[in-house]
Amino acid sequence: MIDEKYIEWMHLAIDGKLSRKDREKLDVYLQSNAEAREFFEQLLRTVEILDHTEEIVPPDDLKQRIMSSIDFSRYAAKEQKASFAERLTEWFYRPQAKLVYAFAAGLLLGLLALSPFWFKYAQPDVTDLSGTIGVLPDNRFRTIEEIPVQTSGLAGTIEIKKYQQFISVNIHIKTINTAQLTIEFDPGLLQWNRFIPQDAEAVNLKYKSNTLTFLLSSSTEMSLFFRQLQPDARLTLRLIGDGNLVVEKTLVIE
Amino acid sequence: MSDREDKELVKRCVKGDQKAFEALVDKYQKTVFNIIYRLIHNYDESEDLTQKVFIKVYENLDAFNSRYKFFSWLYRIAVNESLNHIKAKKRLTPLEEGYAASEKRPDETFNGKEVSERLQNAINQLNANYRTVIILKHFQNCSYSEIADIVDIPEKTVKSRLFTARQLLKDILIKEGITGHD
Repeated sequence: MIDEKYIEWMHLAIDGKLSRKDREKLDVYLQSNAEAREFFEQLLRTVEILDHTEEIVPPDDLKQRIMSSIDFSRYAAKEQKASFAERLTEWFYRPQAKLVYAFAAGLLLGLLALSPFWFKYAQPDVTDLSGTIGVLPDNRFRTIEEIPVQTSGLAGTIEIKKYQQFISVNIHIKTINTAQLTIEFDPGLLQWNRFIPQDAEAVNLKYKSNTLTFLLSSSTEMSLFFRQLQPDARLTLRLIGDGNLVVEKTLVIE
Repeated sequence: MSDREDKELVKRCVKGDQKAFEALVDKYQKTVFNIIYRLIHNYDESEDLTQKVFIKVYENLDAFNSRYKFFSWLYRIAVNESLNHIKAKKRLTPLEEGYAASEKRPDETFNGKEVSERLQNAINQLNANYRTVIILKHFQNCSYSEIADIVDIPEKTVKSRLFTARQLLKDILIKEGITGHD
């Protein structure tokens, strides 16, 4: 007679699922019960035969038979129907896309690093300017304002003209003593980009806090050019001679 | 190849990648063929059924639930197809193929091929439920829980069936003289 509990333990022991403690108890039981011992040995032999039985070798052409019997159009057709969004999403996760991301990030960083230089040259420090720059023919400009200058020490005119988005400030002034001209403007509305003559030192020109300052001496013939970025751009001119404010004029250019 | 790799291949198959399915066939054709052969014990029919199983698997790949192991799902299809085949065959031939009893005595020795064949005859004497758990446990090394998933029964039932099946097989092997009393 074999206790059912020990029969179950025999199976668990064969499958490696019996605890060490219970295995020891099983061993003690088997030593004391010859019938149980014989039963266990027969079970072990059965399992040994099962576990050592060779695999059956399938026919050589089995794979070929399987593959030739499959209708592969089933999912191929489905693939073609994949939505644009699905294909786009899939593309974003491809390794090649990572290269594109890296390139774009590098480009952006490069632009950010260069941006201070960009703004510097977009609104240049005119004290560094010299040379000759071509100018649009004067006859295309229409006069917006002509300011006459006539004092005991100063004589001449300041003309403000416009052609398309270009504004020119033309200074024709003769002076006995040194005079100072300032032009104040909003760089968000007007971009100052060239002047004639091109030698900044010759006219003693300075640019600071959105204001251009010139020191005029004897005879000055000079043109300044702005590009108008927005309508209603404001431009303020002040001319000081012998310590007196000779001209102060604010223009709003449409 | 891990289950994760299997699932990756399944995904590729569903996107129309034939090579991915070929890789799955390469990996599992021999196992599936063996499960089927051990269950139905007919070489030519095992070949046909293996082919049928893979067609079924391919056609249902888009319905495969990735919560389960791929091989569990594949083996379940193979087992079910085999059991259905056995049932259908029983209906056609009510008298099951007779088991040719060995004329050899228990003390005679058998070569490996003979033992394999006689073992298969012994397994055939078990009912389909017992046969299935024996095959999955001892020929495919499946754990109790994997067998439970494949056969879709509780793990406790797997153990109970397996233990009974082993004892029945032990008795048949003794009776047929493949293993003997000491």
